[in-house]
Amino acid sequence: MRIGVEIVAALIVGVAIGYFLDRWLGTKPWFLLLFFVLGAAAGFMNVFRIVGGLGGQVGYRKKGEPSESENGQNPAEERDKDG
Amino acid sequence: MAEGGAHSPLEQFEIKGIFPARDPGEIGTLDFTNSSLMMVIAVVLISAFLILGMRRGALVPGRMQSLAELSYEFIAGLISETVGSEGRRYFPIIFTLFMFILVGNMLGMVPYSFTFTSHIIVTFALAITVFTGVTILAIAKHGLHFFSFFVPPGAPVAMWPLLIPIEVISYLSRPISLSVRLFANMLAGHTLLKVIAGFIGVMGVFGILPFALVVALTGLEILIAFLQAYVFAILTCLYINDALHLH
Repeated sequence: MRIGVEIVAALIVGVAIGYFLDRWLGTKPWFLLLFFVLGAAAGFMNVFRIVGGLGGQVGYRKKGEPSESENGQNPAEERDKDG
Repeated sequence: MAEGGAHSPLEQFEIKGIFPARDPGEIGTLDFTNSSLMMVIAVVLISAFLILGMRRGALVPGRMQSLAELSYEFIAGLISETVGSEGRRYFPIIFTLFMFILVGNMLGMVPYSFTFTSHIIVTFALAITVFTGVTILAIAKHGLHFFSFFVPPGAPVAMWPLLIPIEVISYLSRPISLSVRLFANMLAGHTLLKVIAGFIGVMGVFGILPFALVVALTGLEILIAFLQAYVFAILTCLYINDALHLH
């Protein structure tokens, strides 16, 4: 449930930004297409963070933690308390 | 709604004015509806529960006092686990949100009542409040440094034009995912209950099967009612933690 909601929410935001940028600038399909893809990417990134045990969403990492290990599977940082 | 005596499973979500003084059948912006009534009942119940529970403040708590202390300690533990000691300041808002959603979900489990958390506008209002508050908190605490939040640490500069829009969309999707999660869970669960309950009368003797299923699902729904309130509270904690510490 949570994973589906994450993707849909990011897509809604992406499409909304694209649609309104297009309406404002009169560049009919282009921003919509661009932000649809970006929204999908954001959705997948959120899912990746949930599944990867990082919990939270944007830039979920403590300062000073090594940023090379993209998966950050530190049990002490395990924050995904969702059912 | 009713066709030949059968009720639509979606009828339970209908908003009705309580005092049909003007324009009967039409909901105005200032009408006191069944949704508002349930919210008032929820607030009164929570206040009564906490005030009456803690009235005596005995050293050895009675039943009500134990419950009140249990709910207090549950949220206090949640905050110190996710945010740490700095999070103590935000206890009131998280506790209020948790109790309001929990009691709202639980009131919805009472037959013939109304679930106000099954309306997207209610959950979205709660989520956007959290989102706005957390964003203001982060900007007040970190100033313009807040915007470094959208730059993933360790990413090469060449990737920034691609990653920053993605992170911004990801951040903006928080209130939507927060509200849709609660709303969709409540809406889907209650609709499912009513649809399956609709089979009981139709199937005659074999109606015992859907009846057993409804009993089981009611238990599951009570679990979900609690779980979704918990998820809302813990995500609020995580967002506050993000706002206080950035990354």
